[in-house]
Amino acid sequence: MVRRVKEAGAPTLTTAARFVPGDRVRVALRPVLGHCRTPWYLRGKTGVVAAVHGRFRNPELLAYHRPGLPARVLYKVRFRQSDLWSRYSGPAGDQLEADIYEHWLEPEVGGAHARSRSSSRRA
Amino acid sequence: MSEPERKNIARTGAGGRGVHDVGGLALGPIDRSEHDLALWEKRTDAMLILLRDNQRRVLTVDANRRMIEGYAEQDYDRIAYYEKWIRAIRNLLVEQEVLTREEIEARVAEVRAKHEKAGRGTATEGVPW
Repeated sequence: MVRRVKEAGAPTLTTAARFVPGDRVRVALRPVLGHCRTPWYLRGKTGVVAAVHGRFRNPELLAYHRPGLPARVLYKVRFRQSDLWSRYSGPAGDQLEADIYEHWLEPEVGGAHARSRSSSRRA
Repeated sequence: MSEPERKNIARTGAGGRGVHDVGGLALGPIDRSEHDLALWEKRTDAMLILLRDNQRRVLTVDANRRMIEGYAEQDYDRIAYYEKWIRAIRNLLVEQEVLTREEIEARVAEVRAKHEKAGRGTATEGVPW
């Protein structure tokens, strides 16, 4: 998906999103210093891209009065509840959707799109 | 309506996550009862909106969150929503050099004296920095 957005103080940017709906992605499992929008319970978990919301200034930088550029692509990622909670007792089809920025997502090996791209994810 | 009861969350095994990042931790049932907002709470809400608008750009919601996430666990769980906001707004005004800490404390003392003189009750403790 290609989005054209006009950033204040920045040239018009045309940037392809790294992932498309249907891609299997893994949320990065890494320590955080400071403000971060990626919830703890999703780190290291695998889900599927459900939608591309667009590009937004990076809240991890905005929180420190920085311009938050370059803007980051924000995705809606869908997870199976049973993948998130070890003792999940709800119906098997239950899902959870969360908005995750691109720099927190890695291609999940085994996904159709991940195989056709160079994967930098460590085993 | 009364304030919802506030509980403290045991963050056992939650090393490394932010104080606010409690999704999945056991806290029991959520108290979903609503309560009316006090005037100062509505003013706090309005103040944040004004300070982050395009004309002022003093702060962002993100900076406000970052300040709130700086609480210690016990305080984070104990302190009510808009008290977290008003402390964050005040601290960001100082961080952004819009006001000094001394100016704010002097003004708070002035307002407190005015209300006490008029026989109105004032908060017994201030909002810690």
